[in-house]
Amino acid sequence: MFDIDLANDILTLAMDKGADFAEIFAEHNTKNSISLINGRVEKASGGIDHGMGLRLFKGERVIYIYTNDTDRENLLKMTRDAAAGCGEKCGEAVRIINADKCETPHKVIISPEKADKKPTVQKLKLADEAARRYSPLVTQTSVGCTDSVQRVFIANSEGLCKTDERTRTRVSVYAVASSDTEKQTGYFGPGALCGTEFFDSFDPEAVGTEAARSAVTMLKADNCPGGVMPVIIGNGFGGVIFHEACGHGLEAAAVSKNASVFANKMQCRIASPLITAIDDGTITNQWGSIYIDDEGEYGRKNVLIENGILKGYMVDRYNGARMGIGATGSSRRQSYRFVPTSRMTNTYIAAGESTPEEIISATEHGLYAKYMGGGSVNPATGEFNFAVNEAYIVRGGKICEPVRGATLIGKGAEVLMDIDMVGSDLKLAEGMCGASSGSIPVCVGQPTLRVKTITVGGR
Amino acid sequence: MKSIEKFKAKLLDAAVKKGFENAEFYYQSSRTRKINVFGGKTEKYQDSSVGGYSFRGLYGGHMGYFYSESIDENEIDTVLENAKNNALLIESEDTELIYDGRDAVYTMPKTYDPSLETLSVQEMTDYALGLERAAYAADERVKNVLASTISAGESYISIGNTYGLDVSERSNYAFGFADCVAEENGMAKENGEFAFYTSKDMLDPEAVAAAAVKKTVAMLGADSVDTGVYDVIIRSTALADLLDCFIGCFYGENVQKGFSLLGGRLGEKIAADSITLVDDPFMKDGLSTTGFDSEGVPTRVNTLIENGVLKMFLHNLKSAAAAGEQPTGNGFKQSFKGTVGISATNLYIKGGDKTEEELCGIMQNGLIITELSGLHAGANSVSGDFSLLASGFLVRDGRIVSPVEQITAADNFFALLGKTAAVGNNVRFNSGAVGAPSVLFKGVSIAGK
Repeated sequence: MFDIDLANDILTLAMDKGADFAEIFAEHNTKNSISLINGRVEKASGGIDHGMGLRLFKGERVIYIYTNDTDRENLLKMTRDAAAGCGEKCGEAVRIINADKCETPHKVIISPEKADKKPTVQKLKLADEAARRYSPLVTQTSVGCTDSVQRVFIANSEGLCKTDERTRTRVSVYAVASSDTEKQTGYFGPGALCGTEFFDSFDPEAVGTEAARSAVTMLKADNCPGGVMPVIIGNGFGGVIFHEACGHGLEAAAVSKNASVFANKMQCRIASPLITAIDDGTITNQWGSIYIDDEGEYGRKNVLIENGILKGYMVDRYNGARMGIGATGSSRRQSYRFVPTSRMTNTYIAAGESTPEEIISATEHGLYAKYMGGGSVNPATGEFNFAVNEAYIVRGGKICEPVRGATLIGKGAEVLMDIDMVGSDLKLAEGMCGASSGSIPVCVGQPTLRVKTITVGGR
Repeated sequence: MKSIEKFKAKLLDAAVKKGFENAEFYYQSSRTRKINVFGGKTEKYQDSSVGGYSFRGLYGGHMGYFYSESIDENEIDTVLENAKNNALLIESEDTELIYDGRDAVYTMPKTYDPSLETLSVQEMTDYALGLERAAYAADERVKNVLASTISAGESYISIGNTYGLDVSERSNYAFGFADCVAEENGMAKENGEFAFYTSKDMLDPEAVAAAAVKKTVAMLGADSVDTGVYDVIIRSTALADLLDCFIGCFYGENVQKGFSLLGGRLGEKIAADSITLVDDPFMKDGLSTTGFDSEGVPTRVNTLIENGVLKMFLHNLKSAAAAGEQPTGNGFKQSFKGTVGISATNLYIKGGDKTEEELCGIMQNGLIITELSGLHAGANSVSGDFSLLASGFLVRDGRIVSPVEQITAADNFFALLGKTAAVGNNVRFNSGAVGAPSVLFKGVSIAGK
């Protein structure tokens, strides 16, 4: 998809002009999206992203240029401009002969580029109808799907040259339940690293019903009381707590700048002994998986925390060089418009030994956060916040009335230590993660677990 | 530009031949340069020049979209075929329209300053180095300056359609940002500050660094407060961030589809008398200042809430037609890749006459909230409910006594507007072109210790 001779000329020119390292990332990405509002197709759109980025290193300096004018003369001019000021030549570019066409194990059966969209619309309507059938309180629905086929070409001055094709499909189901004065929402967004066959892997009606059930339940709920209490966090998307509160702090981008509370803590206890946490980019067809990362490294299964001890960071080439450690197949970017950096793939807390029932029955009073919403974290201080989309009061070891508007706040390092029960019901859930290298698909995950005390925001 | 004009003519011509009733070409190109320094050296230099176009056209009465990042005549048929297939999927009865703007009159605000054209890499580097230096020098508790950044951008938008519409706009800006970590007694605090510049003589790295450091060190030694109901002053930028989450309630499309709590409430009192909410696309030095929207409709000043009364919703062509009203010039798409939705331009709550000190005096006892975090998750844009991580200061007897962290503030945004007790005079805009003054609200739920 990118001319090998041109790649060689660009990389050679950059190195001749004094760069320490040069890398090309070229991309062709076909995207489609369909959205239905209240059961009718409202919007259908699509497009083709096409462009390339050139990254140069000179000492600790990174130079990045990108364009979608991929005309030879323009690219050579941009390369010359980018490398100006790099100084004396200090190395040769290794000549590329062929691109290694990576045979991804994440098989695609029906490519969205060729698929008829009408059956897709029918499946979306099943989800929509199920949501509205669930209750007359469901007043609005918004259902949609997006797909993308991203072809990448990655070549660098050390002779690496690979191509990869990443096909992703995702559905979103959003239900609004209304009373005279209030509106509450329920949301589900399953997705996978695969083609249109994804629609055969789940029951659209079940997804629609679940979104509606969550919205209706919250409509009937009272406000969550605020205060400090034990919190049981449900499995699946509950893993966002680890993603935000700890995962970002284990990315080399934060660690190498000493901007993480987990910097200089390798082999130290940073979590309760019940906690083993993993970032695994290799799970077949999983939403957050990668075959090769955006620097051409193979995705891996990286153990981050083992029985509470910090075992590894997620590392990209640039920050790895600063820290003197190797890359871990964790370098990702949204598109050619972003400089890649260390990011998560599918990040989860491994299963423990308690059953979810045991965790609940062992809790005299607290909050059960069944579905988490999103959140954010400040990696420098570890301060985080999460919204809880569906929550219940736990009283006398039993799940009691639903409550809405709960938020969990705290500091990541403290919460990790305060986890006192870990369940056996590990589950992953799909999401998008935004950071300096853009918005990328990731999974979060965990079994049901309990945090001894956490500040719950409510009113 | 000449080749773009030629391409536009070809594309629109081919669209008509293919059976599109009406069609539009939207082109956007931009160049952005960005420098980040770390440890007294350039850490990152970025230079990009990108462009692309979106085609949309009415086929069988429905609007089909497709975009591409290559201006390639060989691709025209693929683009039109995809747009046609997309149009055929649409079932909604509300029709999107192509703008027949033959009689439109445009007021074009100043969006381009030639002085920024000459901003050199060296000047940008000096600015970023100055930011970092000033941040370290401002306070010895500053241990790490995580970002000292400047970016300079220029962009060009051109829209043409089969009615003969032909509008274009050039704009440029520079944007500075500093982010620092301060430490004291084992506690670390991080915060940043930005500045948006529309001419070269505005560049002032010391002011940005000083503001970033002031915000950061002020929070050292912060502690939580007891859970309870407090009077709070929400500081201008925090209130702007909060308002940002709920703008969607004022968008005609959301109102018509039942996604807004404000549906059916035009003419009603939805906020205290002291609240007036204005969208001003002509604001000098505004981040979203522009003379036309993404459909080519002229922009205009819109007053959404006047003295607490809901006056109007914002519309694109489609929602205006559905409401039987005139379009308000708010039919925007995020980039050429998006579909036309609705967006405010420079939206702000009008300032009152009180300084923040005077607001403290009126409040006597309560909290100043200076930061709200997790807005994308903890604020429900449909229900108006929010429950957000907050930080700020404890106020006793009208004076700031100590910094506060690890609390949440929870309420309903529209209920909050009704609890307005006094409005400050310090309107500031956030980086999303939403502005507000500091405002005193009565009785907000705070969860802490």
